[in-house]
Amino acid sequence: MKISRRELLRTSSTGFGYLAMESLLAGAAPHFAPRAKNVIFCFMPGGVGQMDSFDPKPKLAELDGQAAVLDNYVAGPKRKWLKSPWAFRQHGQSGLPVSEIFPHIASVADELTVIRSMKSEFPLHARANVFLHTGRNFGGFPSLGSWVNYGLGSVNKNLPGYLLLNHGDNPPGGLENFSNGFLPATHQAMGVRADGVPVDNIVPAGAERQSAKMAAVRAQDKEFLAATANADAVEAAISNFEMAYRMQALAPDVLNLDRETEATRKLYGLDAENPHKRAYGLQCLRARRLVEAGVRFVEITPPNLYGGNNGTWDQHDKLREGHSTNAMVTDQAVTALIKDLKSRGLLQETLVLWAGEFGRTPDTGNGDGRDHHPFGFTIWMAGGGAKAGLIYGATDELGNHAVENVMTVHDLHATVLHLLGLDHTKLSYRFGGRDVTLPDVHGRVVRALVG
Amino acid sequence: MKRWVTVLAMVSLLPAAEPDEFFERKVRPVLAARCQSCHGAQKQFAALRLDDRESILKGGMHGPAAVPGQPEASLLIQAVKHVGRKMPMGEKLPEAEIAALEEWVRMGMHWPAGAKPGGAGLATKAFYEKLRREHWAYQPVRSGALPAGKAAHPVDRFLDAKRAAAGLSMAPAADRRVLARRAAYVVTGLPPEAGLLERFLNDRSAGAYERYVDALLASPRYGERWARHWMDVVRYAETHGYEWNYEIQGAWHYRDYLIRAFNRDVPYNQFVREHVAGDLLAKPRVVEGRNESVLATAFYRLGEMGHDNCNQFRELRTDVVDNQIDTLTRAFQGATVSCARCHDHKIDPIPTEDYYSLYGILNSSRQVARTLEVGAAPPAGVAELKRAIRQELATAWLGATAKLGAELAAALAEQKDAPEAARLAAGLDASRVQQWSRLLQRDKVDLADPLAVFAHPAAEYAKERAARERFNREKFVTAADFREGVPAGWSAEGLGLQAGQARAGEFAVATEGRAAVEGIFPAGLFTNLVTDRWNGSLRSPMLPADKKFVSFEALGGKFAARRVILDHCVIGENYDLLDSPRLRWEKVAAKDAGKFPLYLELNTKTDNPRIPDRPGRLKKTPDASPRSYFGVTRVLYHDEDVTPLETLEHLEALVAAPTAAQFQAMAERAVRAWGAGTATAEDVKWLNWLIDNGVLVNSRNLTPALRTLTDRYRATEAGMADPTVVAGMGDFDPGADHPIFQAGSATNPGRVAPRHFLSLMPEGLKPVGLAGSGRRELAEAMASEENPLTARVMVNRIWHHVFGRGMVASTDDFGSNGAAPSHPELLDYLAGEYARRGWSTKGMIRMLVTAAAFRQGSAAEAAARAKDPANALLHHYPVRRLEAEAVRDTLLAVSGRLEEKLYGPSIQPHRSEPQEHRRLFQGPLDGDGRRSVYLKITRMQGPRFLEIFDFPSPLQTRGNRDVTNVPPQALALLNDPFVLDQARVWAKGLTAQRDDAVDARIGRMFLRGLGRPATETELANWRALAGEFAARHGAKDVLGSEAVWTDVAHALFNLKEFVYLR
Repeated sequence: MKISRRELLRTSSTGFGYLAMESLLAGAAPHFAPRAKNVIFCFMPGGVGQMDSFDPKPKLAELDGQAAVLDNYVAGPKRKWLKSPWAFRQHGQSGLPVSEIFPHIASVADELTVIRSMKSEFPLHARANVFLHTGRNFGGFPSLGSWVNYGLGSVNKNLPGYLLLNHGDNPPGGLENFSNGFLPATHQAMGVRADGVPVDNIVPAGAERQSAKMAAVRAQDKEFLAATANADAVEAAISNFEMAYRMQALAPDVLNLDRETEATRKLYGLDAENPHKRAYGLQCLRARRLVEAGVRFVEITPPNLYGGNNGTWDQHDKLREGHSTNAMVTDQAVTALIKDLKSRGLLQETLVLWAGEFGRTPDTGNGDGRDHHPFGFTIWMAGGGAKAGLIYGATDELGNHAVENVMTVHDLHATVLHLLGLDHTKLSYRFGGRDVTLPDVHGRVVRALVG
Repeated sequence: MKRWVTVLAMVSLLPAAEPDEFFERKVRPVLAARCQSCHGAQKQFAALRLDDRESILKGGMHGPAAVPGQPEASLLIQAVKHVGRKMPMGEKLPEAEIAALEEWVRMGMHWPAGAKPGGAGLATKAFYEKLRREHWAYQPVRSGALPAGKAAHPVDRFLDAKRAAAGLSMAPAADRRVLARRAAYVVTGLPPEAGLLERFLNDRSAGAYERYVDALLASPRYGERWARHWMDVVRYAETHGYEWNYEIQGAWHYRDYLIRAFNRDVPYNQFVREHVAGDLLAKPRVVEGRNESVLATAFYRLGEMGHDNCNQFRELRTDVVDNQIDTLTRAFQGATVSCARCHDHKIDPIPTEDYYSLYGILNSSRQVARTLEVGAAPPAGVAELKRAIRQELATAWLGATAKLGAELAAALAEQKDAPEAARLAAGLDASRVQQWSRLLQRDKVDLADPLAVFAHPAAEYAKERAARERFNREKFVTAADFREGVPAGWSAEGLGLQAGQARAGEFAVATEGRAAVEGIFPAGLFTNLVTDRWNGSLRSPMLPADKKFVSFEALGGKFAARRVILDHCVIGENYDLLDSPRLRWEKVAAKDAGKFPLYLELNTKTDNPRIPDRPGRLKKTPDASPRSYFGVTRVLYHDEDVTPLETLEHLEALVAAPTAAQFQAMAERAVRAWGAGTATAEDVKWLNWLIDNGVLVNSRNLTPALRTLTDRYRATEAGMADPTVVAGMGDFDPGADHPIFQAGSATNPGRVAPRHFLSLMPEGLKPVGLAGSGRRELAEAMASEENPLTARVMVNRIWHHVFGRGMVASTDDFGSNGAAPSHPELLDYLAGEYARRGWSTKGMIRMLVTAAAFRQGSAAEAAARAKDPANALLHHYPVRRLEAEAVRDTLLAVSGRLEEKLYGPSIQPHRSEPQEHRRLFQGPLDGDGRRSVYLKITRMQGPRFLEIFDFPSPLQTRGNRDVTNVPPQALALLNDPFVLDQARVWAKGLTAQRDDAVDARIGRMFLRGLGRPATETELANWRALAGEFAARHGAKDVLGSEAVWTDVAHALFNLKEFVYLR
């Protein structure tokens, strides 16, 4: 059997050989010339209404309040069509229609690649979230961020390659969304909180005495290593100990925003009155710094203000209040990220992905809420080699089914990997006797989205 | 020459000899892998399917896809050759695949008989037959003779032989201290207890080590350690995950079961039987009055589960069964049966049919709350006390009814403005008369109300009575009548229901508050006849498809509920609380009964898997008390959305003589009859009416004697233990075979798979035509000595934990995908011994840890390492990091914080991010000093500290944990508050002891932390370190400074030697 480089990496993952091998691989393993090097995934859990964000449906205004006839799982006698409470205007040279709840994003309309024909398979948060992240509807499989790191290696040897910037609440599906699955544990997401200490155990305890402890430990570990005849496991643990020591200094440095200018801080809304907006802005700015430091995949989850247990955007009721507040909290910082990356020349090599697990129904059961809708919804990308100023695909006139250029979650995964120079059919890991890939046997690269 | 090459190529592909095999090997895989994701059961792009012959011939939008015998005229062949159309999308197929398709069409497109599209029967029988015959793990265990050799220990004979053949030898024997530490961790997961270690080190006589091992195995810490190993195998968790993380009822009792089972060395074959079918054993194992065997079935229930409606989201059910099949077959058989969910297993002889025959077995059982107490009876004196209370209360009430007639007569006169009203009221308690007046003035009183008799003529009653009886007769059919027992098909479980059969007039003493009784009941089944802390689950049979509604006459309170369970989705949304203390008709729409298995349950709070419920689902939040009750008399089926009418028998005598005097007579009769224990259903109606309307006062303060009696009752009740309720399995229905879900899709059922065990098993282990669910037979087949996998898989699991790696490295997969055994003969020898020696797990561990291979040193020689880098031949004992639990437990043990308490409810882990709405509650930093096995394992977020050290996510069988080396591990030891806290605890203990020298203290710390004395150099180094800390802290009294010794302890915790076992 031919042993691949990655296989070798796995089998020798307990020794120094592992580290040497991985540094050889770092940043050097795309299958073909990549467009993007990094990804920032602005996850919008709960389900953003497509007709309330980037896919205007005038027909709904016509039908508003009339009995809705739908063929989906929530269909029922008391349901009515619901027009979007918000007005749309076209923006930029591309004329992209954007809902008035996203005034900032509207200002970068020409940077966006809007996909209006997304399709998922599960109208349930936990499953759809895990599906969006791992291409499977159940846990135990690696997340997109883990695959990307596994495929490309990490650039910064002192930081994990997959960071999750959150707000102390994980969406339904929990940590399975961000799991390394069966990939080596080095590819799992490390959480960074907005509030308080960002990373567990990163602040040195008794810093002024730590070096004395380190010295004593180092000396004695050397003896122990010798006593075990240089056992790989001990050797790796020793070098790991040293890396942890360095991380204590480096991670806070990367996360420290003191060196950012006042203008940059303002750009991200760090001066906002609303604490949630400030927190989300902080995470977006951190995302940029982390990408600069060579972190491959940064995921940002928004504060969960309205979604109850089910994700930020899950407005079965209070749609007007919930969607507009969530938009207010995230709009400026997401836009800032695009502008900031662009001004630093990083947007070309950084793919910003804005997506949730599904959309929302064009009808309502209560007049101010929409339900889960996996049959046709909108996401967007920016930078990273995606074709800017493009609207791809379409839903029917009600925003119900994706009808034109339907794009599945698997297609999205294949396309994102493609932009990173990875072939989704070749980026595989042998598990359970199969060469498992992110999109399994599904998925195709949507070349129309590639700039 | 070129010609010959072509001919040879043809020969290798020649389909004539075995067209089935040619198709299965060369054609089907190409169609399946290259075509069917777009042209198959799921998707039909261009309206084309390529998964059966007819569909290919029929073709799609562009016409027939192939013409038998004419590859050049076949679109399929043109497309794959890129003549015109280019398929599949992306790269062109390899030439060999194109050639195979072409050849297949040329030869007439043979399609094997019986092979249905997208479902079972894909692989050839021949391929499976060969695997069954040849794959090592499916062959009988061959326990042959010991290899020749000098070694005394049988295990070493096998190992030595193989090592010698490779030109390798063992490492020199390990130092006694190293060995003692190693054995203690392997057996108990903790460093050796000081006294035990001392005894061993001082015992230089023969057999000292064996005695040391026996002491370790006798320690209760052994059961805790090995229970935790098994918990990985059964994906142990205490919550269901998904969105709301519902609690798995009593899951921790299962953990305690494991600890007891390992400590008592329950034979593994019995352990297997109990897991698979502990509820069905003829002789269950009873420990301290609890049924241990039933408790083991909790293992089925430990998986992930969603609460949404299963008729909308079918996979919520099918995923649960899939996970059960996966866990069951991987845990006990090392078989990956769940790979056959959508198609026949690609490389193991497991057809999809096997998967669905197991599915049928599991789907024939119900997931229910099991009550473990066996033969629990009301304590002595309860019946006598109840009788006394009844008599005392009846006597008191008779006093109150003495003037009832006169009061009512006065009120009736007042009502009619009769002139005698004032006279009649004279001398009576005015408030009582007023009370009757108020009752007489009520609006909309049903005819069944006794006072209605005074407002309606007798003729109307006669007519109404007939009409009501006719209505009830015509609209309803009886489904169950509980007045004289539990009818066939229904099941009543729980201490309350066990003692719950009531004759008319039975009652419940109120266990809290001012009331004397909680209720007086007609004949039926009531959970609270002894105490409302006793539980109950009443389960209906599967509802018939042709009835639209079910109504049951029930009462209940304190979070008792009625639940509708559809397709076995036991935490579904469809349930309501029973919140009426009086019997009333509860109606349930039996929607979807025809499409899914559907049954009803009435549960007390403890038995309802939805309690505690998610925030917002219930108006009030239930407290932790088990108090809850319900009762039921009858259940009816009906097709119209109507409610049974109350009949009027209880008014017959009053209608005949509608006077106040007769009213009093009826009331007195009811009270007297009740007091004498002869009440009828009609009397009970009267009593409840009188109580509900304030005529009789339900208070335990009516007489001092009643107060005393109810006090005594409550004291007795308070001394009774709560029932133990645990999620488990039960068989209540006739077993049913299940259809194969084609391509794994629940909406695409195919033919039915008869229930039987895996077809790869020996003939005798595949009983068919099962009467019940089949779990009992399955249990016997798995526990059988004839089973080629059971003993091998478990012995290998034990080996894995003893030597750090299984002889079969893939502990959960003994199929073709799995690793081949490094020592097949030894594995078979041990499997044979295991069964021969009564399946004693302790015995097997003892055997392995006493082998010289276990007792050798851990330093590998360079040459040996070069020859056998993976150490498969065990040329040294492998160095390994302690498991997550051992790291944490060691910190507690060394610091002195470890609590040795066994068993009990789990302790919430300490969390960085508690999320109460997801039931992720905060726990104490040190887990109250309890061993890690007692930390609560919640899905969505496990114990943070353990997860850092590779504690697995509890999703599926994980007999072989990841061993990673990542920075968060080092960061945790450097900075985690728990680690620092334990350093402090240790320092506190050390400084309290007032050693007389720094060296002595360091020496003791080494002994305790590392299990060995410090060397001179080490003493010097650590003395200097303590000095440096003292300087930094400005501590003058070094030995007395907690800060100094916290730092020293913390440094010691960071030694690799502290967390690595050699």
